[in-house]
Amino acid sequence: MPVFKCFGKIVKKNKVSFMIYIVIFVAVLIIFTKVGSSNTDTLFSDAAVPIAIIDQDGSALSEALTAYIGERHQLIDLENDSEALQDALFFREIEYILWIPDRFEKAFVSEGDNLKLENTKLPDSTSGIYIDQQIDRYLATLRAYLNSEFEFSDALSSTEKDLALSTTVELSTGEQAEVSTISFFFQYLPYVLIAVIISALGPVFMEFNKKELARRTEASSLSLKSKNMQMALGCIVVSLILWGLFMIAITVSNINDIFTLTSALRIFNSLIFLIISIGIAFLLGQFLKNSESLNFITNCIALGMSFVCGIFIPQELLGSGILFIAKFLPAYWYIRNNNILTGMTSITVANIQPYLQGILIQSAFAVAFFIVALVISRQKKFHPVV
Amino acid sequence: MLHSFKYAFLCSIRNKSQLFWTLLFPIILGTFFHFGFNSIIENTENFSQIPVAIVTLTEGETSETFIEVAEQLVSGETPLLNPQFVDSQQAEKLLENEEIDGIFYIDDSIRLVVAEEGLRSSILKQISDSYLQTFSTVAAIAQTRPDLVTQVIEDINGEFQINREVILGKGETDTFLNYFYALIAMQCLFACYQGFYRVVNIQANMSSLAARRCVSPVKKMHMVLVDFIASICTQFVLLLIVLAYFVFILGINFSGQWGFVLLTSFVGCIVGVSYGTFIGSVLKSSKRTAEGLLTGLSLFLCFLSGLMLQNIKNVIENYAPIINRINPAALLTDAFYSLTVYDNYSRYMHNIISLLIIAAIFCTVSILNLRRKRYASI
Amino acid sequence: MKPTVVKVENLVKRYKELLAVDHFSLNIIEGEILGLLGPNGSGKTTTINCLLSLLQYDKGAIEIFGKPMSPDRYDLKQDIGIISQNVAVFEELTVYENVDYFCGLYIKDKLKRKDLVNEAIGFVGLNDYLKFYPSKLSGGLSRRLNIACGIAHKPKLIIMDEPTVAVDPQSRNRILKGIQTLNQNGATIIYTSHYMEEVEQICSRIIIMDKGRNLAEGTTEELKLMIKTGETIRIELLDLSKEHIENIKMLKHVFSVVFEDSLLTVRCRRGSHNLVTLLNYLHEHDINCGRVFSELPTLNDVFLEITGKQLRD
Repeated sequence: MPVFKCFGKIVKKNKVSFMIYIVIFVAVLIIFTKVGSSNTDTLFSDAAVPIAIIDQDGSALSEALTAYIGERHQLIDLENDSEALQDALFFREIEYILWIPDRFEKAFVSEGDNLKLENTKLPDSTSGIYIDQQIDRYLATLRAYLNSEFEFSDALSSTEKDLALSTTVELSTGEQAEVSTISFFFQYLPYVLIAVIISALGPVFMEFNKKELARRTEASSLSLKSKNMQMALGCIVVSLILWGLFMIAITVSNINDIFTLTSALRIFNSLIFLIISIGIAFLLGQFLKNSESLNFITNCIALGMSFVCGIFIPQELLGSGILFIAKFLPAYWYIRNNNILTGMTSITVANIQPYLQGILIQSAFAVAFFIVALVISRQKKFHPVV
Repeated sequence: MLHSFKYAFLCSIRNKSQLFWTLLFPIILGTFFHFGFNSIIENTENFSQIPVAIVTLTEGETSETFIEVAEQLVSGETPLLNPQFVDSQQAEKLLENEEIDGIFYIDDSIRLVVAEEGLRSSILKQISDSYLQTFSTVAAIAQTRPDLVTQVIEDINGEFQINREVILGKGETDTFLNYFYALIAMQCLFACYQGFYRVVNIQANMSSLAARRCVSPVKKMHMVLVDFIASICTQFVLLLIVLAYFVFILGINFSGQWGFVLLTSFVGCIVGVSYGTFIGSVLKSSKRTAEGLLTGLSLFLCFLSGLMLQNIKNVIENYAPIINRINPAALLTDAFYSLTVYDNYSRYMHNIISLLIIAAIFCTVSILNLRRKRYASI
Repeated sequence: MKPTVVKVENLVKRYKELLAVDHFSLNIIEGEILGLLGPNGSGKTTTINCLLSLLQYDKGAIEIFGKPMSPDRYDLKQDIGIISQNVAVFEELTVYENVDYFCGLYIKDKLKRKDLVNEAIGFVGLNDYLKFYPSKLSGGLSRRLNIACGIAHKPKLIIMDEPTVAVDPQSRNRILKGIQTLNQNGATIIYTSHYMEEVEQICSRIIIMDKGRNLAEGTTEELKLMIKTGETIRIELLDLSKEHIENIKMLKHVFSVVFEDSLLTVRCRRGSHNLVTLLNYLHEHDINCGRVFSELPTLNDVFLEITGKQLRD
């Protein structure tokens, strides 16, 4: 099987360059998965946040407020120095700064000066908004007590008592504890798959489609069908090996949680996407001439699709306009399937329909890529541009 | 000198694939960002009508008042809740079929069951927390001043403007501006291709063209320097085009300190070209391997500076801050960030100087390698 | 006595285990066209690269224009032009721009350079292709561009490393004629090739190289005189018995007789009437023959005798 062997040889020859890709992208995938999954996508998280409070009042109120915040968050002790505070903020040592001005308690109690607290928060810290609310809530409750003629100290303690109340929250099923690392891994996988598969297979297709080489193969006694079969075999072998490596990686790192039906469906979903990636590589190999162009287009497709289809930014946050465009890209349907599986508490014939629909659509994309590529290759054969 | 420069510049600017990478690609990606982010902001403001089930386990004051509150949250201009009053079994079924986001079980207290953690479940929790706390306050006050109860409820839940946000330093940045900074940093780093190809064309053991140039009576270092400057100029011109597109067509606001923005970009170009030159002068392997390395490494550095995952720099700051100090992409994004946020330039200058030191190191090593005039094999 | 332009003494270059150039020496006088002939891998290009100070070498002395050659001798480089085996031009510059660029590395004067560039382009016949990019040129035309870039500045020493590989016959003839013109205009030329016909055609002196060694040196005639074979006669015959083969071997001047595939090949030393003698013998013994060929020795024969190998494998 000469074509198949040649396929392997070309892949081996280029192995250094796409091994570099694999190493780097695996690192990226690992980091993505770890960081992404520890990033809860709650915008109002009640996780503890490092805060610096500059208390210029030193009153009972300011101390009580500080204690209230301190119970819920992590207090960091800092000087009231603009540079030091900016630095601390910049380097994420703190995410929120609160200034309690002098005579705040007096002003608050008398409702006179309307002296205000001041805060600065990190622009991308969503918990900052939540902290604002917590502070507002505290003071509003306190004000309510004071207006109802409670003694100051009583008002403080009642406020504290009230605000200690909270709802118990439970998750309905344990399935949710389906390790989010698995779902994040599969969310970011397409970016890596596209980049790696195209950079592994693209050069091979390009070589075979070089004018002189293609003609020589045409003129040989090898039938077109046989040639194509061998090429297909070569693709399948190489891509399965690469895809297999990723599957092994995720299985090994989540050995206890991976053997579920949901994970199996995710794996199947990624297999379909693998075929799409091969299709794209095949298509690109028909008309790209050199490795530079391949390089650029690969990254353009990988990054572009990743941003638009919901790989880097969750689909639920993308606008309708972008999503409309995204629907014409295969990765959108992959991600949608992945999200459907994340949301599913149990798998029934009824709720699997959207997933199956996604699989069908992705398959259609794959078929389309192959057909277009074959059409182009026939065009080139019968109407060659000399 | 001018003669060499003219042709070096022409070579750089006519290289089609490089043009694509360093010009079209950032423009395309920037356009995606712009439309993508505008819609994110729309979407996060819009949370209304969260479907929820309310199951009363024990009739009592708690349940009555809660139901009243829930009904209030239904009416109004922006109804927050869409409640259904059902029994336990029905509620569980609704949750399973994802027709509701959560179930409030009410007896003496409130218990919330949700299918998954997320924005909506957090909002539900807030609603019930707020209810419990208000209820407690109202109960306490009602004991001595029942006449003030309505006023109290209004006060607690009304707008309370006592905490004012101030800007430390200069300004608040738009969260998503960081993505654009990362994109510009990426473009600067991709100048590495320019640097690399110029080296290929000057190292006699890498191409015949280089051999011909080395046999000419022009000093090699002279050619290296001219190529280097031409690459930086080309890259800078392309970057200006991209910046112009961002500012004038997409309407991104880069803080208005144009002198410093351009300085940062220029320094970025220098770093990019010198890192490409470095790789070219040090790597002995084939062109394809080098291209793979340049692309992979640049993307990786950009990834670590926040191009794809926003808070990665925070994470790195916590675990391995040294990476943020030496990653050119991170230094560039930090420089842009400092321009917009801080009112003095110390942080900014620190970043710029670090970048220049990195470029100097790359250049020095490159020169030491390129100085070689004879090769062991060609 | 014309001055020596290039002098190489005992050049040795090793690539790890392989001895690429093995105590090679040569001397080139001004106005010569020296041919370096040898099969692929014989060390021609390596020698050239050492000559130009692009390659480190292990032992030996190289002088150009009477002065020791090193990478810093920009004064010597000023008068050297190189035309490499691969087309060494910028893909992103047009034909005119390429020639202008390379000429500009040698000639600073703008006006003078303009004339030289136009002259060079006219010389290689690329006047109709000024604005073309190299990727759009055919093989022959790219080679011509390659040459223009190497000679635009009118160097005194031109080194051409296999300039006609994969070139169509029309371009090749043009190139060879051009080289002769350059030589007539005063340039000394080193021409390396494995095509003996070209070397025979234009070179005034030839060095035969193999395995990095200088095997034989001289004009074409001198080289041919070095070998035994004076004439090679080939005759088509249906059949020939062993007895006759032995008899033919006994004929005067004959030193090799081979009969294979209906072809009789007889090699004779120098001497007259070899063909007549052989034909007489065949006639006397009633052996009918088909076509008859008689060849004088070629450089390939020279190479074959000296090394036992063909020039082109």
